[in-house]
Amino acid sequence: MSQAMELLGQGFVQDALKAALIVAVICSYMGVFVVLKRIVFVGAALAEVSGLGAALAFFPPIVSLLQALAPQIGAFRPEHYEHSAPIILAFAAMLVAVAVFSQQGLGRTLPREAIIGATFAGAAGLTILVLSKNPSGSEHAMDALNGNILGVLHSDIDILAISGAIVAILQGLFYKEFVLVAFDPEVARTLGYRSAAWELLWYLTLGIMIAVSIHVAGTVLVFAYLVLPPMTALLLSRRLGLVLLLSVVFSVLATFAGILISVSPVDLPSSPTIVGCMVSMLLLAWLVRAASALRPAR
Amino acid sequence: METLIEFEHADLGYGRRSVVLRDVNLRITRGEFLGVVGPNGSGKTTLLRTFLRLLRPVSGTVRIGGSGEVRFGYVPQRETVDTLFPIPVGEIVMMGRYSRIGVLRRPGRGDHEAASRALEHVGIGHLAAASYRDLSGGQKQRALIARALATQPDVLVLDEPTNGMDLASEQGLLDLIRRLHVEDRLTVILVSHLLANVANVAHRVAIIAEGRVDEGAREEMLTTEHLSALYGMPVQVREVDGRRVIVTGTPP
Repeated sequence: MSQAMELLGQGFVQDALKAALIVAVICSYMGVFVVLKRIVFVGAALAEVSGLGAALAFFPPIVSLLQALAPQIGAFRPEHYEHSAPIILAFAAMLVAVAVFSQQGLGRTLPREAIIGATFAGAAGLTILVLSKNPSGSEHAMDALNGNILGVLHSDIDILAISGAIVAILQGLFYKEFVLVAFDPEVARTLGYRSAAWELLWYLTLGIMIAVSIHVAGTVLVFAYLVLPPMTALLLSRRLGLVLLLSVVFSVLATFAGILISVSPVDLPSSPTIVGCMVSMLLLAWLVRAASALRPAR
Repeated sequence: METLIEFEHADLGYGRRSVVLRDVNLRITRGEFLGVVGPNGSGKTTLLRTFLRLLRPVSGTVRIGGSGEVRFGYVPQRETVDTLFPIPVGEIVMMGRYSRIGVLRRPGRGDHEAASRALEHVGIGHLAAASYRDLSGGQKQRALIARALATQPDVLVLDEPTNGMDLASEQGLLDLIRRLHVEDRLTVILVSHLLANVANVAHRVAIIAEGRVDEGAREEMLTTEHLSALYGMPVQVREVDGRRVIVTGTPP
């Protein structure tokens, strides 16, 4: 216990916890809607597209182009480039994907899932191709793509905190509208709501969070936060409010446990360890649910 | 009588290349009960979506609301409502209040009272805390009607409300709809693929067939001659204990 407290007192562990907890809280909250709206693959595709945007920041022709703009845009100056450019391009790529995925007409010609799947596969493949042409070695690029929570910078935490606060405020302010439009978009339209505009706003908040989180936590961990804690919570509760709360609580617990285990003498990579903790919670919830179903009714 | 909805030579559909219903002429006045009947795929949903202002006419005129705004209470087919969402019945009914509450505001005491009244009115006040997914088909339909009533609508629009119900639930629901029309003086539009559903409750009947809407008073529309001509097959309308019964086909 004292060793765990000692580890938690270290600066780099505290920074990692701050960053991971921001990502965990917001993504696991929004993930409940991702799961209920049956758009889990959208979450994966948005993460992958944002990853492609981040990878493009290390693609030589893009690097040359952006640095040529450097005098006009400070974020692309060489001293800021490695931290700013991946986030900006991830954000831009996410915006394009959100604009496409939130179209209500999407799926009239081809199944919606197929379009999202093609985007996922295309973005994943292109990311590997782009990274293979990174002449300066792929370490920074891989960090930008896969995240390195234990190496998170203060500037990353600031960006995460600001983005997280904006998303949290929007989600809180428009909670009832987001629930209505997700639950019954057609009735929402008959009540005078512009369902398409509300959908776009919701996707934007999701996209913002994914784009800024990828840089810190990587695609796998962000996707895991979007899916695993919400699934665990949905197994244990039948009240939306409680599901949202439990999802956040589970993601926070898994983050604490995962980071503690990863910096302990066991020495495991942090993101996969957090994912492992979330999977364990899901399995445990499944067992609890199965056990309660077997209990004889009174 | 105040005209709430009026269609004049309206072509309805999804653009000039996908006109579903042609030259629709309809007038619905306050307090009326219109039954819209037609086989699956005939264009009932297109007509309903135009009523609800979700679709604009391809051509012609559709006027909704004469002297003021018309508020619709829409009851969708219950199969279209997602049961995966863990939302209690009371919260679903509260959704009907959202347009009155407005953006950035939370439901107040008046909204909670209105939602409770709507639930009591349809006979499921005791199910406010129950999960929607745990309800029977009839209870789900009543919950959706309560949500529509919570909007305090001028017009109640119901899309295939008795689909997949057993006889007792179906009759109970039709009785409820008739009671809402008579006691609350609600204007009702009931869309169904079953003539029998509207035969004894609607004042006016609109029958959709082959891209046309044939509309008139129930007594004119539901006659053996008219229905046989319209459907191109033997259809008999009989009265049993003062209720209309529609029989299709030739007697054995």
